[in-house]
Amino acid sequence: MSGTMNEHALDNAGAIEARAVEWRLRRERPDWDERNQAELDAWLAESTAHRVAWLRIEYGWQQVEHLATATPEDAPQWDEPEQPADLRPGGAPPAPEIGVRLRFSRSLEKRAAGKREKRSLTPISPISLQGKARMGAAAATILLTIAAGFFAATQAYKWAPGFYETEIGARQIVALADGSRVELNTDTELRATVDDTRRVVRLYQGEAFFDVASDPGRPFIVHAGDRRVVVLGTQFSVRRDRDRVQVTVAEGRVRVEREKPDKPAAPVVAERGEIVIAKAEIETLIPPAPERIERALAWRQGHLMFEKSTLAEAAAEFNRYNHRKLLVDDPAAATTRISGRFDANNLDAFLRLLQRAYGLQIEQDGDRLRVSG
Amino acid sequence: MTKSVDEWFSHEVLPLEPALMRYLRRNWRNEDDLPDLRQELYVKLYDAARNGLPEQTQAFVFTAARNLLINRVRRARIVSIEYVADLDDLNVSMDTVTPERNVSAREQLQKLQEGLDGLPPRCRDVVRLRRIEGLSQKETAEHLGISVRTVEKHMMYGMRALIDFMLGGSGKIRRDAEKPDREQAIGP
Repeated sequence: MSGTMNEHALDNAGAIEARAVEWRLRRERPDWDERNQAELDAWLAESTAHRVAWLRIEYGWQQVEHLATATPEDAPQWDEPEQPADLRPGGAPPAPEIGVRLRFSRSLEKRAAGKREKRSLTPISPISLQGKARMGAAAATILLTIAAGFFAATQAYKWAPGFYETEIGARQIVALADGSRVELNTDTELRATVDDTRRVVRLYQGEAFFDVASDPGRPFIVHAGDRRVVVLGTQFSVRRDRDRVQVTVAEGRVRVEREKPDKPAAPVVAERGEIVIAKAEIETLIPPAPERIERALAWRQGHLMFEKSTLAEAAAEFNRYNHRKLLVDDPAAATTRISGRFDANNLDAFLRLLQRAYGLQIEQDGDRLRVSG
Repeated sequence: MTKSVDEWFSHEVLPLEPALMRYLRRNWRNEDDLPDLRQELYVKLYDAARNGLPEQTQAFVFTAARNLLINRVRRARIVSIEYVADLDDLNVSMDTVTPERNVSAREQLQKLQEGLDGLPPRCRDVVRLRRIEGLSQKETAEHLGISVRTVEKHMMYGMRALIDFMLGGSGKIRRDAEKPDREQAIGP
């Protein structure tokens, strides 16, 4: 058998390609340095087979990247086929379609700069634009998005639904393909999957309010920590703080179950006005009290409401919505009772109140604001 | 202005890959061999271009492809006649090489969606979170409840498969990177 140089390439095209991808992935890590680059250059110099594999992976990679981050501005022919009319069978030009525009509100430059930007997927279709107009007054940070399963208006992509997150202090509304709406509160991360057979949300952290479209054929399930909330059609919120899950029911009924119970545990059913607090092995059902519901859901108007909460509790709540964090380590001050309704994002107003009405002192301590009696 | 060989290869040869793969697929029975054929061809093209960039890249590429197949067939014929029915089939006139018509952005995106749909589910999740949502490796691992190493493995497969698909391949990667001994298929 003749042993040409290319025999080697022949046998190992797959292996070389795998290495090229490995290198490409490694290059994206934040700790890539000159030594790594020198190693890569050495590997590329070893043989043409390495080099062409690398160039190919780089080329294909950029294609994928480019498409994944395309904006309508980048793809001006979005709604119009590029093919000239005479090449099409029948010869007639097609009517322009109303397409689904995919728009990503992040930029590649920011990513390249190494900053981790929180981003939101904002596909905008004609339907959603009307919806936005109907929304009326809303906080500046609310975005209307449509997460696909299917778009009736177009033969568009089954752009599988995804991951949504909000910055600290932000809120976001997501409309799901089944007509349900999810409102994300501050500093929240969740993933929504809606298709023909199921409707599933995973709440990784934070808090969200769900306005679920009724569909007995598809239960709507929210997974949070080791609990899941099963509904048929209703309005409720789920808040997760690590292993503590709170479910507030505004309308209808929900069932709160353990995900993988060590021993059989009865689900807790909560109805309108009730709150379930689930932690470890315990679920606490809090009886209906409209004021409690109002307080639990005030964030949807951008407010925080306290009814004789301790300052420590109030400060912890404000800290969810603001980058400037309050620190209350003075034991006497910590027990001060706070009541009232506040703008979650207006920390200064809250601080002024603490000083004037409660006689407390605020000091800047590094990047924290220390509150003392 | 002299273009480097790398630039020439990336800008003029690689965009031909979909058409090239179609040509190879039509003329070589064994789908599994295609990545190797392509690799061997690319190496030849690149090395030749070091001595001077060709005037007509497309003609250059397809002539080289044809010659490669002819050589392979000659070697393979000793063992099996199944590789290519007739050497004449390999004759390719430039007219029969269908140029890539301008693909609209929508079609490209649809193709990407198809490529994503073809990935194994877990792999798809990882690729989506990393490449489209832009999460870091660690964030992706946390969200899916898997290790960072597993995320890397999924990314490896996913990117290879997607790239292969976008460049006109099947989108399925043989995970065993080392192929079994090729000597047997080629001849004594």
